[in-house]
This record gives sequence, structure tokens and C-alpha cells, in this order.
Amino acid sequence: MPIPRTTEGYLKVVGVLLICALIVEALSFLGHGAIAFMVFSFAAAVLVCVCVPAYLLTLVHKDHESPH
Amino acid sequence: MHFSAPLLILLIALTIALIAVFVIRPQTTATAAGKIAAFIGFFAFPLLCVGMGFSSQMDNSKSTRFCLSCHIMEPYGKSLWIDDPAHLPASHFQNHRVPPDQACYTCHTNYAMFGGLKAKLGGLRHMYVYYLGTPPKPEEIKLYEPYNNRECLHCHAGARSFEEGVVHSADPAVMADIKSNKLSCVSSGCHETVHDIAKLGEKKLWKEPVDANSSDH
Repeated sequence: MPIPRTTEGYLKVVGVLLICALIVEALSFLGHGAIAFMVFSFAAAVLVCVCVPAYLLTLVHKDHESPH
Repeated sequence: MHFSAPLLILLIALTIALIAVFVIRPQTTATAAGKIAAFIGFFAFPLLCVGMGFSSQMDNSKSTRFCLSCHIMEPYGKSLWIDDPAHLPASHFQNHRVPPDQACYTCHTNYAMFGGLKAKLGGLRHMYVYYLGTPPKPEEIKLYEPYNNRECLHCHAGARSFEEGVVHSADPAVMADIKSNKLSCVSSGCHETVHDIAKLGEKKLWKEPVDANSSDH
């Protein structure tokens, strides 16, 4: 996968990551045991520690004013 | 606070749909409205999903079903069905002296300040040992510290059956010792039979164990 060089490219990558993490989080609600809890924790950690900061970084990315 | 799974899944689906719009058409963020919608989809909603989900998972972690989801705890769950009123956990569980759907947590949490947090950190440690460490045999499991009367007195203090109990009130010193945790409730000669896992096979069960979180028991 090529490294995105534009804000839109970053946004796409972050969006796909977020969607994957949210799907995993949704799946964790189908279980009730310790494994479901750990799956949720993993998804939540990815969301909070990777996806959301990555989105915030796109806001301050130099290319965010690219004309469209 | 517990949020129902369908509600959480609906919120997640809505968030995914919103994000998908920006993945498919990222140029939508060029407008001010698009930027605001992106902020909601990429930041606000995901954090809301995590927050609500975390709250729900924390609530779920108190459930009997959650505690018994590790195979090592199965004998302890089975011991709740022993047909013997002298068996302390069984009599509490079967007579609903503790909520059956939160039976383990009700007795094994800590009713001191930050006790709930301490209990949950203990639970995380259990999961670590169970999945990544070397779990002990069920009969080898021990409490981290002697069972504190505080946990019993959280419910029983002030109750007539406790305050006026023949043994409890026979000598004022006994009551004082119980309340100051000098005399353990589960000490020999008192309520000493707790989870007797070693003899579980010899015990008669009230009925076959069912999911304690269902309502058919």
C-alpha cells in the first residue's frame, strides 16, 4: 500500500483503520466473557491511541488546505 | 452504566456509515460543514462508542457469567448449586441474598474506598494469569488476603437476623470483635464452609447449574 501524501490520503487510511476497529468493537458486544472484554479493550486501545490521534494529526497536516 | 448491545451496535454502525462517506469521498471535508461532520465521525462518535462501550463492559464484568467464563472458575460456579444451607456461597446464591446475576462480584468486591477499582484490577490480573501465565488448579486458588468481615457487614450490619442472632449477641465482645474484623465470620466453628471445591464431587446439587444471568433459576 503506497504511503499517502495528501490529507485526503491520510484521512482515507485513518477512516479504514477506524472502521476496522469499530467493527471489532461491535463484535465484542456479541460475547459476554473475558475474551469479549479483551477484544473490546484491544479495539478501544487502537481507536483511542492510534486512530483518533492520527485523525487529529491530519488536521494539522500541512497539506490540509489542498484545493478541491 | 449498562448500555444494551443493540444500542451500542447501532451507534457504531452510524459512526461507520459517517466515516465511510469520508473514505469514499474525502473531498467532502473541503467545506466547513464537511469538516464539522468529519470531526464528529472521526473524533466525537468514536470516543462516544469507546466511552459507552467501556461503561457497558465494566458493568458486564460484574456478572456471574463473566466470572465463570474462565474454565478454571467452573467448580466455583458449580459450588453455588450445592444443596446444603451450611455452604455459605450456595445459601446466599440460592436464596437471592446476593443478586444471582452478580453473585461473585457482590461478595468478592471490596467495600472500602476505591474497592470496586481494586476488584477490577484484580480481575485484570486474573485474566493475565489465565491467558498468558500459568493458572493454578481450581482447588489451589486462594484469596489475596483473608476475607474481610467488612464485605459481609456491608449487607448484614443492622439486619435484625444478624444483630439479634443468638451467637452474635450472646456476648457483646463477640459482636465487637466481628465488627472490628478481629473475629472472622468464616472462622472455624462459624460460617466456615465456603467454596469447598475439593469435596465438590461428593456434594448433592440443588439442581443442575444453569446460566446465573438467565432468569430461570
